[in-house]
Amino acid sequence: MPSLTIDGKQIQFKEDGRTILDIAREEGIYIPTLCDHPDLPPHGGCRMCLVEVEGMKGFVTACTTPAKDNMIVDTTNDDLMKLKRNILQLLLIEHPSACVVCAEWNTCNEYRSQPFKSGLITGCSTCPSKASCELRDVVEYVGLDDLGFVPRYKEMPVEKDDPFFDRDYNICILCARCVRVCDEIRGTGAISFAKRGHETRVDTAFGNSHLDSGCWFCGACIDVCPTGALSPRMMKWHGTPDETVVTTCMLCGTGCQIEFDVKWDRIMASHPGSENSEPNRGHACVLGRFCIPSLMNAPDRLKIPTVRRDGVSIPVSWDEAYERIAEILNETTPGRIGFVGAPHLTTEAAYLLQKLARSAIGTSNVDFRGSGFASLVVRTLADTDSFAKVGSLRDLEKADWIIAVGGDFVKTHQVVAKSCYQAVARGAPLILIGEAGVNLKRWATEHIPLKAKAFSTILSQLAVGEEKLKGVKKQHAEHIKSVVSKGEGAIIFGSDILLANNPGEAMTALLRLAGDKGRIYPAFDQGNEVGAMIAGLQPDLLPGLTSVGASSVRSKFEALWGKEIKAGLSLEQMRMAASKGELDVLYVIDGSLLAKGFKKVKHVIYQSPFPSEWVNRASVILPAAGFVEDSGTVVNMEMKQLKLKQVTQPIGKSKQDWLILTELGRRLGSEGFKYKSPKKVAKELREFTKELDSGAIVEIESIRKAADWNPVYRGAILAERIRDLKTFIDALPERERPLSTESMDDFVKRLSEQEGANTQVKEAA
Amino acid sequence: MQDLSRADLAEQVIPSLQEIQERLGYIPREAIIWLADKLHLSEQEIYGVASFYNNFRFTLPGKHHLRICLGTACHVQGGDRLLAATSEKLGIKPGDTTPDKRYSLERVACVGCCALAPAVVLDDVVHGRTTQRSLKRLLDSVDREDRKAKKSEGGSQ
Repeated sequence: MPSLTIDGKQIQFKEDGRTILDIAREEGIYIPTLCDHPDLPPHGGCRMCLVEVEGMKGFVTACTTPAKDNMIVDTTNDDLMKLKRNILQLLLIEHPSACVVCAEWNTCNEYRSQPFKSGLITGCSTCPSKASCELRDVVEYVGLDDLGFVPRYKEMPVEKDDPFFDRDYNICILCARCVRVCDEIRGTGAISFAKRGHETRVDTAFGNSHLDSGCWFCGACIDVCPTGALSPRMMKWHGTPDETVVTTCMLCGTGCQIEFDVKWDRIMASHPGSENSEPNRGHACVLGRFCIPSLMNAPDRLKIPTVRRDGVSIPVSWDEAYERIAEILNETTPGRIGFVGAPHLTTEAAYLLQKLARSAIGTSNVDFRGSGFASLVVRTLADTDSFAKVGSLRDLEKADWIIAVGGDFVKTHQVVAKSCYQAVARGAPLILIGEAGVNLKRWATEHIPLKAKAFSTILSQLAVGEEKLKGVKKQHAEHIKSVVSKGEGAIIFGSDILLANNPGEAMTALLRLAGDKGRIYPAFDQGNEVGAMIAGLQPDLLPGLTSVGASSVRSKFEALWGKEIKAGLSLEQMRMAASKGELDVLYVIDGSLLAKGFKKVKHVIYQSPFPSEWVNRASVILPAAGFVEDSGTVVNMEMKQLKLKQVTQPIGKSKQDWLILTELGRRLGSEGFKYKSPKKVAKELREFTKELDSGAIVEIESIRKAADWNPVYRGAILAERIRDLKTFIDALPERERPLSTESMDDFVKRLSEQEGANTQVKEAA
Repeated sequence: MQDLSRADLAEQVIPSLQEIQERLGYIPREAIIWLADKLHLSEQEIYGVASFYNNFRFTLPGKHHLRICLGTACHVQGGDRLLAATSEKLGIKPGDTTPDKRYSLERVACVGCCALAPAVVLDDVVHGRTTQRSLKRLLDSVDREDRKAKKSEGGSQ
C-alpha cells in the first residue's frame, strides 16, 4: 500500500485521486483553508492550504495536489507560516478585522454572547457570523497579532433590497464559494465575479436585483459563506442557540433533513443539515431555508380548543371539546360523516384518522386533500409491484439520461433540481417535455414544448419506440430515441401529469420507458402523500394498500376493528354528497381544503395549526401542532421512511395530531386507542404493511387544474404570511420566457435598428 | 449552436462576445441575455467574463473612439497627464461616451508602440509622441472634417 508522510506522521492510503488535504483531514491533521468546501470541487484560490512537499518546486496547494506514494509533506514550517501570515494580512486589508487582533477579544466574546445589532459590520463584534467565522479560525491558527497594512474599507452599501438575505460585500473575501455553489452545484449562476483586480466583487449582471438575476433564494450561498458577508435577514441576531435539532421538512415531498436552531423553546433559524444526511445532503430550498421559523412562530396559530355555542366560538378545555365532538358524531349516521385528512399528516396520524373513521365510527368516507397524484403513482406502483423502481436523489445524480415531465422542478422542488443538475453537469442529456422555466430549458439538450394534454401520447410513443414522435422533428426524434435507448435513465415527473389525456397511460408508459435499470422520481407536492396512502387514508384502500374489495384482508380488519367495512366516499364524492345535503358532519384536518360545495354540512370539526376559512363555521376547533412540534414518520418521494423529530413543544395548548386522534378515539369508547407514543402506532401499522399487497386497479379521475406554485401548509398560505416569499413568488412570472432562437445576424440587425443610426454595424467578418 | 455539448458552448463565450462587439461596437444588455439563452448559461456567467476583460465595453462608443495608452513607456512619457487633460476637455471619464455621442474615451495598457510613447489611437490609427497640443489639433481636424462632410451631405440632398 502506498504511504506518505505528513508532518512526520507516516500514513498509508489508497491512491485514488484524493488530495493531500483529503488525506490530512482523514488523519485529523488540520490544514487551514478558506475557499475549500466539502460540497465543491477544489479551487486553489485562497492559498491557505499551501504545504511544502519534498522534491516539488516551491509550495503547493494541498487541496489540488493528489497524494502520491512516498511524498514527504510539511504543513507547518516557519517559511510556510510566514507566507500564510503575509497572505492573510493582504486579505485582511479589505476585511473589517480590528477585533481579530484585539487583546480583549476573549473577554469580549465571553460577556457579549450576542453580536451588537448593527447595520454596518465593522468588526467581529458586530458580525452575525461571529460564532461561526471560518476566517477567524484560520487567523487564530496561523497566529496573527498585527494587521501589517493600512486597512481599506470598500464602502459598498449593504444590499438589503432583495428578499430573505442581506449582503455586505465589504467583508467578502472573494473565496468564490458562493459563486461556485450557485453555478456548479445548483446550476443557477445567479451570481458571478464581476470586474477584476481591486474592483472584483460578487455581483449579478449589470448589478441587477437578485429577483431579476434568476436567483431562487435557496440559500446555498449563505450556507457556504465562510464570513458574515451573506446572512439570512430574519435569523441572524439570535446569537448562540440552546440546541440544534434535525427533523424532516414537510413543505414538499422531497423530505429534506433540516436543522433547527432552538432558543427558549422556539425555532430561531433553520439550516439544511449536514452533507451526510439524505436526501438533501446539505442543501435546501427557499421554503426550508427561510420560511419555517416565520411559519411556525406565527402569532395567529390556533392555540386553544373552542366549541361553538349559540353561534359564538368559546374557548374550552380539551375534555369539553372531545365531549362535544362525541356528541356530534354519536347523533349522526356514520355514512353521513366525512373525514378529510391532510397530506401533511404523519403516517401514524393518517393511520389513526382512518382507524377512527372505520373502527370508532364505522365509515370509510376518508380521503386527503390533493391525493390525485399520489393516488395515481402509488396505486400504479402497487399494481405493477415496482416500488423498487423509485430512485433516490443520490441515484439521480448518477443517471445516464434524464427525462423531466410535468412540472418546473427548479421552482417547486429545488433540491430535486439540484440533483438533476448534478447529472446534467456530468454530461447526462436532459430531455424536457412540456413547458418549464428558464433553468430547465437551459439545462435541456432537447426540449419538446408540448401541452400537458399530450403527455400520455408522447410518453407512450417513446416507451413503445415508435418511429415518429408527436410534435418533434425527425432529426431530434432520432436523437431522443437514441438517448433513451441505452444506459440507466431517470424520469422526473410532477403532478401536471394528471392533466394528460390519460394519466394512467402516461404513468404506465413512464415505467416502461425507465426499463429494468432506469429509475423514476415522482415529485410529490406535499409532505407525506405516500405515507397517507400507505396508512389507508383512502375511501377504497385499507392500510398497506389493500383494496377494500379484497374480502380476505377486509374480513381480517373487520374482525380486528369490530365494524363492517365497505368502500366509502372520496373527497370529490363527499363534496357532491354535501352539496345534495347528504353529508352532515365533516372532520377537516387540512385548512387548505376549499370550502366550496360543503355549505350544507351541519357540523364542521376543524383540526389544524392554522386558521382558515373553516374557522368561521367550525362547531369545534382543535389546535394541532405543526410538523416541527410533532414526531412520527413520513414517506418521501424516494419511498423512504423518514423520522420526524419533535423540535419544540406544541405552541399554546395545541396537541400533536396523533395524540388528538388517540384521545378522541378513547373518548368515543373505542378499544383500539391506547397508544402512548407514535412509535406504538407505527408498530401496529407495520403489521399491515409488511408485504405491500396490490389491490384492484381503480380508475383515477383527473380533477386537477394546473396552478401556479403556491406552497400551503394546512390552511396557511405561506406567501400570505411571509412577505419576502410573496415578493419572490410575485417576481417569478417575469422569468417565464422562451429561450431566444434568434441567430447572431438577426440579433445584431434588431439591435442596430433599435439603437438607431448611431451604431456602426459591421458585417460579419 | 444547438448540437454542441455544454462544455463546447461555454467555450463560445469569448468569441461570441468579440463578434458582438465587433459588429455593434459594444456589448449591450440585451446581448448578454441573448447570449445566455444561446449558450445555455446564466447572464451572470457571461457578464462575469465580459466585465473581466477591459476589451469589452458596455456603453455605446462614440462616432470616434479615442484610446490613450498608459502602458509603462507611455506612462513615463506623460500618458497619464494626457489622459487627465483629454478627460477634462471632453468632459467624460475613461470608458464613457460624450453626451453628443461624438467621442468615447478609453484607457488602454500598451498598444505595442512603446517607441512612439506616449501613444494615442484614434479610430484604429496610431498617433505617436502625442502632446496635449497635438492631440487638440488632431481632434480639431476631425471636427472640421466632420462638419465638412455634414455640409456636403446636406448640400447634396
